[in-house]
Amino acid sequence: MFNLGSVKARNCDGVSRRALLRVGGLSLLGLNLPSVLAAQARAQARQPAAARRDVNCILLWMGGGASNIDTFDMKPDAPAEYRGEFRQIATNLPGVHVCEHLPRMSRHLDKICQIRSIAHRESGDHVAAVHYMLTGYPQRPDPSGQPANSVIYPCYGSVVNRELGWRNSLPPYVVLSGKLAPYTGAGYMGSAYNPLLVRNDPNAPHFAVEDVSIPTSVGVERTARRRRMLDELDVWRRRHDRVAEAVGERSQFYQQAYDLITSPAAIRAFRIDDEPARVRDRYGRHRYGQSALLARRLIEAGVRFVSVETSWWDTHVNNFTDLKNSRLPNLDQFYSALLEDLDQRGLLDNTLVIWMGEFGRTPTVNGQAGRDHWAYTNVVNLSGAGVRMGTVVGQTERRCERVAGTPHSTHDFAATIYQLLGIDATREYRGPDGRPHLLNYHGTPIAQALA
Amino acid sequence: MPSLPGRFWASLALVCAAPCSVHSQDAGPHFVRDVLPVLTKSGCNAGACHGSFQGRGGFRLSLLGFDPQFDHAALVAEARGRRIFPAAPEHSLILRKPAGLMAHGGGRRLPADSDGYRRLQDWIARGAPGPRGADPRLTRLEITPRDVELQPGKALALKVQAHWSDNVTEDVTAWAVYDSTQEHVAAVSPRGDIEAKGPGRSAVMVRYLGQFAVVNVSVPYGTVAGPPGPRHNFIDGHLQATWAKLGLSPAPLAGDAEFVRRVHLDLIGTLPTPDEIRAFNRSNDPDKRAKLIDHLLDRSEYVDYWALKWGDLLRAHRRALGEKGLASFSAWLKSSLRGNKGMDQFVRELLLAQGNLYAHGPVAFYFVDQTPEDLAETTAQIFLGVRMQCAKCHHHPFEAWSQEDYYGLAAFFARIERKDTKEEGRYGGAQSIRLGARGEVRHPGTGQVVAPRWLGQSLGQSGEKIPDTPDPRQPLADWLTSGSNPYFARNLVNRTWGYLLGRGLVEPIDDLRATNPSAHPELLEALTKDFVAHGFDMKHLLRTICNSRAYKLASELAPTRDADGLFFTHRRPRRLPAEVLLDAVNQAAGVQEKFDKLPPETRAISLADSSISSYFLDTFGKPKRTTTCECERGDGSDLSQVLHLVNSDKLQQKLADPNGRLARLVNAKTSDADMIEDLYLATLSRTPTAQEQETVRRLLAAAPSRRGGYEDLLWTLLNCAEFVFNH
Repeated sequence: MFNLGSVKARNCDGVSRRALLRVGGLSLLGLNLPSVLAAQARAQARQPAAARRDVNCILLWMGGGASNIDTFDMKPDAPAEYRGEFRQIATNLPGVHVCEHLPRMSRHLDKICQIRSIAHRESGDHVAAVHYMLTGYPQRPDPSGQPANSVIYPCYGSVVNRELGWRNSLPPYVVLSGKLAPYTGAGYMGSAYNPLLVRNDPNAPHFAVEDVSIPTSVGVERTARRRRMLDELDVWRRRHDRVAEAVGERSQFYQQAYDLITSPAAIRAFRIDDEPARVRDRYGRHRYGQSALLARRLIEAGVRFVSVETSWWDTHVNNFTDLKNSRLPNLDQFYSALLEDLDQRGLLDNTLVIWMGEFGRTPTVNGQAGRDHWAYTNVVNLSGAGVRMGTVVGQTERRCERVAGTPHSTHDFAATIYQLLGIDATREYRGPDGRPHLLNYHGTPIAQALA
Repeated sequence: MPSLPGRFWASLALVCAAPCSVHSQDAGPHFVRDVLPVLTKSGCNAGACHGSFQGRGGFRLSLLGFDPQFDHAALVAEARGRRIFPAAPEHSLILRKPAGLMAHGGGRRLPADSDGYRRLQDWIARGAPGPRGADPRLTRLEITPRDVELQPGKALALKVQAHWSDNVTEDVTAWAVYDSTQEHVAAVSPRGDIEAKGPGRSAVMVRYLGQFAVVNVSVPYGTVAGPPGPRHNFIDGHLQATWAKLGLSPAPLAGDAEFVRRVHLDLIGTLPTPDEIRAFNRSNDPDKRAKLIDHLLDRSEYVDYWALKWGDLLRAHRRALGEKGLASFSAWLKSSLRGNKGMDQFVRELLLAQGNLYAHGPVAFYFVDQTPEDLAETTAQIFLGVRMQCAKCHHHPFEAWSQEDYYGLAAFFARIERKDTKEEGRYGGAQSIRLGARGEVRHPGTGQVVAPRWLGQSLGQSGEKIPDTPDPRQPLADWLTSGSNPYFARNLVNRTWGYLLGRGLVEPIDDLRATNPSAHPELLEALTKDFVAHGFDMKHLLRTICNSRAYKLASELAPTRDADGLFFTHRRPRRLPAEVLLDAVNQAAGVQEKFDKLPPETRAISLADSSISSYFLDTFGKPKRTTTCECERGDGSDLSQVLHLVNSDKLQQKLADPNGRLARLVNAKTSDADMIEDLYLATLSRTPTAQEQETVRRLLAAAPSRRGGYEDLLWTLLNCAEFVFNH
């Protein structure tokens, strides 16, 4: 491919996976898969310092857009049609308040850097706003949520997947959600960097992970027998592994798939029943509570980036009743449990926790006691590795309609996340059509959020 | 010239640039001739630096210098003139920063002792003149040599001369920008020195002030070409000539089993059944391969499979068309393929469609895309293989297309109107197309109305005047589908070749442009001529390619073949597409997939609607039909795909299905030898070797039950790379 312009300094891609396979595939020196993996490990050893610190990330995704004014950015002095029904309560951070329905969270504000200055322009379409927030790139898709003929950028987890790779026989990026939402994948980087999706509900009895947990209809012994049969009978693969790139690449994923399904660490991590009942209770006996708990178990086992997706924040109608009765108590429970648990286990030092959604909600209450989409104000909470916790960055105006002062763009936010994750945000990648893309479009990390 | 490490070349570029040798009666300096090349060569106006749309550090230049007026204003007038100090040029920001004397995000790019630095300094000292109308124009680039054959390890220096309208000839070798398409074949230094790295063929693009030219570099594999085998048609003659020149030897012919599987998958997206394979293997007819090709082109799955491809390309989707509109479009598409409509006619019907969508399927073309701009992009991309997207916003850096071309093409579609005729259903939505009385497209930069114009008209490629017709799309359709159109037939030929051989004659297969030359220009030309001469007959084209010896080569790779597949010396294995793979799994297991709201016999390749929910299809890369890029279909492998074949309960249910293939074979008390053979034929499309028979029997003996053992065998065969790949 031709380079756009002659600046090649940015193209120092390290050793890409594909390039390694090409080496493996074309070499007549007998470079085989294990040595490819070893070369990949060497490539990883050249990562920046923060990456070598092995920063993990848990993304708590508030799908639909959680109301900022009813959670972490209360406006008690605003007129009633703005401030809503809820009262604020004090927190363990002097001068900072949260909603009365987040009593447990009020004891953990010392572990949070609240950013109130991130604003963007996509208040209309959910999925477009998801793309803004998970990639940094503004993107206007067609109404179905799929942009026609425009570039889909990789989200944070997929970038971690590409840049940092596997650890401990576990895939780098796991999404805990019923289905893969738009823009939670690798976009132009290709499906090789998509997340492992865990579709099943970890709160269900006999929780098992589809395609990962060995099905009871087959069993462990038979799986091992089948693998031996495959090793012996797939002669064609052995002939083509080294000479056909596509075949070699697939073989590498077979290796990883078996590593995963037979990995004691993975099997243990998914055995959520092993967790003491009081811990499970503490997180909450519902899908989201148990997903947050599973996220912690996966991080402990070696996964680098886990996304816990909730999808019930699009409160156009009955905002207050719904928040009060179920959503806020659920959130309060699992969010506080996760921070507490990570802190007690010493995991917060190297685990970044992000609490965010695609946008905030309108400061004015609509005719159906709901709040609509609002991208001009928003709250994003960061905790853990490298974050200046116990701070509030930026302010919103008195009625929460706009950010007071200069807002931060989604590119600034993305640059912040990449800095925290130890990923060089100035990297350039190529799409499948050869077009170059910057990982981050000239964003500036939000300095006040960094320790 | 001895080979030198790349880093040495890179440093050479900046410290020993050739002295400037402009001799002109005009005192100069000229902004375009003397200043812009420095900015481009130093990377200042690259997309990642100041050439980006937002600029860098508050300083923006036009991308790769396509707008000299803008650049001059940015350097001289903007920032209250802080960037240059004519009284003391060396204090100018535009010198101090890139010279490394002040902090500069882009680093040290123009050392104070470099020629580029001196050029800028001289220009500032002489009043920093801007571009003027009377300035000499660059008339052409002359590059020597244009065709290079080098032995591995050898190097050669290019010479680039710029010819100016004031009769000045300038050696700009040091100032041109060089890129190689295949750096592992031919590396090129910033000074224009080409080094042969390894065997193959590469194009080296030379760019200078918006003009470009391509140098073809061939590096032979060996000196003695092996026996190429007999030619089956004209395709082989062209490829064999290339192989002989490069010292390549092709793989042997694929065996019957490999051929029968391949041609089924390529032409009808369907695995052959055990009985079909047995019959083919039994036949002694010397023409049996050609006859099989003819037979497959008449199968009903041919229509399904190619309708799937065209549905992808044209992005047929219920969100744009509604259920009824999608059905109407699909009916037209399938009947066109069934009747083997000439592709010129096929495209004319799409371009000239009007009336009601429900009555007339091709009207869908105007519902999938609705703005003149989108219609222009799709038309260029799908029918011409030309990517216009870049030209929407800027002059394409490696292409001839300008914004005038882009909006000129869009202008053909300016009068399309969508009407709700209320004749049928679909309350509130438009479903008819008609031509409005007026409608225009404006250039976003100048605000001027742009008249319709064919692509390349500005280049003199299509010189005639566009006739005045009641429907402005008529001259577009006439020009586009004509046999003399430089892109239309070539694009269809190249895509089709790519579908069958796994790689286009031009690659990527939807990116035809002067700076992306084919490694096989004569073959592409010959196939295109043949396709036009046969009335744009798709089946003729498919038949011609499949009957070539090149198509029938085995997939073995050897050192005398090219690993990249650029020269088609062997078959390159590729993963089955999502729909084909799902159908193949079901056919092998003898079960049917149940898609939501569709009859149980529905096969994945016959799905007209890409929004049908299927974890399998999504995971294996079925496109969402949102872009015109062929790259939307995922053809790689990933973890989720592998897990789904290795470890899914769903696959186990299929193996254990009480009405499936295994159950039927076991219930019929089939012998072990026949069972094993049948399963091999149903999956890998070949009989097992004697050794495989033996191995399988040994492995099956370890299974707790006969039935269970065969389930394991079928599982194993479905997970074999030999099954998942088309080879």
